[in-house]
Amino acid sequence: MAKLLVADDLVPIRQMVRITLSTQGWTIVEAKNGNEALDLVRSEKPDLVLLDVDMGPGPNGFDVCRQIKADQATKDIPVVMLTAHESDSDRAIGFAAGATQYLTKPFGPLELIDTIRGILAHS
Amino acid sequence: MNPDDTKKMVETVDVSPAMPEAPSGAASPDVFRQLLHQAVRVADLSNAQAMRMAMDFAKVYEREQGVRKEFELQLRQMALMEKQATRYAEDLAQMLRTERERRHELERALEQERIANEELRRTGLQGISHLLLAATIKDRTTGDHLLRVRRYVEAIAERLGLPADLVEEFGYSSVMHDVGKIHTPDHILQSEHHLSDDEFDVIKKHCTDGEKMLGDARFFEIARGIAREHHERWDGKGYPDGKKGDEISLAARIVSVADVFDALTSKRPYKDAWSAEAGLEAIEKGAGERFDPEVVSAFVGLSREGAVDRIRQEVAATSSEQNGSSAK
Repeated sequence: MAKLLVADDLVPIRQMVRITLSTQGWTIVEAKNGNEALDLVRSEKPDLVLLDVDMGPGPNGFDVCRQIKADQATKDIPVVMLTAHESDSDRAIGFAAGATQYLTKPFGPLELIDTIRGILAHS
Repeated sequence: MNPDDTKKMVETVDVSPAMPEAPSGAASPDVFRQLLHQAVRVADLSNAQAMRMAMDFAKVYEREQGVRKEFELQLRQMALMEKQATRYAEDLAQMLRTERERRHELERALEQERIANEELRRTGLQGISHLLLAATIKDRTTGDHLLRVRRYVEAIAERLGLPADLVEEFGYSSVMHDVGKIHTPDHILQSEHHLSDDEFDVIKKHCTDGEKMLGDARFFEIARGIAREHHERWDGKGYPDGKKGDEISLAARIVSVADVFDALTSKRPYKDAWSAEAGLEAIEKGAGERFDPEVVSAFVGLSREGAVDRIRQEVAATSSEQNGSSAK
């Protein structure tokens, strides 16, 4: 059973993501900011990370993604950006930081499930 | 409405962590239902309406007071949450619609299958009545005999506790027990004298002939067993195969009792009709030898309750009714 980390500063978003993904039998770990996300990625070794970009003080989602990819121990964990930043330049930044997929808010439940399922199937 | 309140409310929502194991294929309807159920709760709590009001108030506040900065972040988050909740509601409603359509399609398909099955059944029953017409004309067996046998068989089967659809199947299958006699030469079939061994061997063939005539359709499966085995005996001394006990199908064991009882209590060219009491006595004597004891005791029970007499009277009444109307 896959373990997923979701990092977002908004409780309702984390709630929605958790509800949606737990229907697939996946375990969800939650982080409410960038630093917490980095700690949990190292300690929990999730199978996939979902990252918001703006998460209040501390590193933003792009920074977190770069650090995950820079660390030998975590660089193979796929990262999905989940953010309201929908411009092409933001997407480019996300992919340059090492993200596997880039989803924009508002996201639909099936879109989220299918994206994650696809990535998990390939890794 | 303060967004912090929204957060607090949402945080207090109890989402059971023990979700059922997800199916490995596409998301199942159960998942959709769960998602919708949960999303409705979250959407409720996010209270999009309240957020819109807050933002409207904020606009007015900004215009009046010229201060927006301090609320900027909260307002942006609320706007995002509102869009997010709307998107979820739309997606889930769409899933629900799709699921409903699929269910309707399934129901339609089932209904069509039911109609097709019913049609097939009617065709089968119609085929039976033609077959029987031919057989009865030749054998001089009356339709009344077949009707009584059928009613006895259904009553016995019901008393033995068989399910209703099997009772019906035993019933319509029983009327075909002698269809094989179509192949039996008239002079043997209608002979009023004692038959020679050779002639009796010819008679015996009606069991296997009947089975063959009934083809290989599932509809006639029980009927084929009855046609072949209704002259078998519980003690193994019957024909054509000398099967005994449970080797003989239950339907055939039941028909055997019903057929013999009705033959005994009916008038034939070579004999008078026995009384019901005498017929029943003969059947009881045959328990464990010619007949399955359980079937016999079911039949005896029916007789004690008056069911056998009732069937005889009812069949006699409908036949005299028909004769009366055809005479006019």
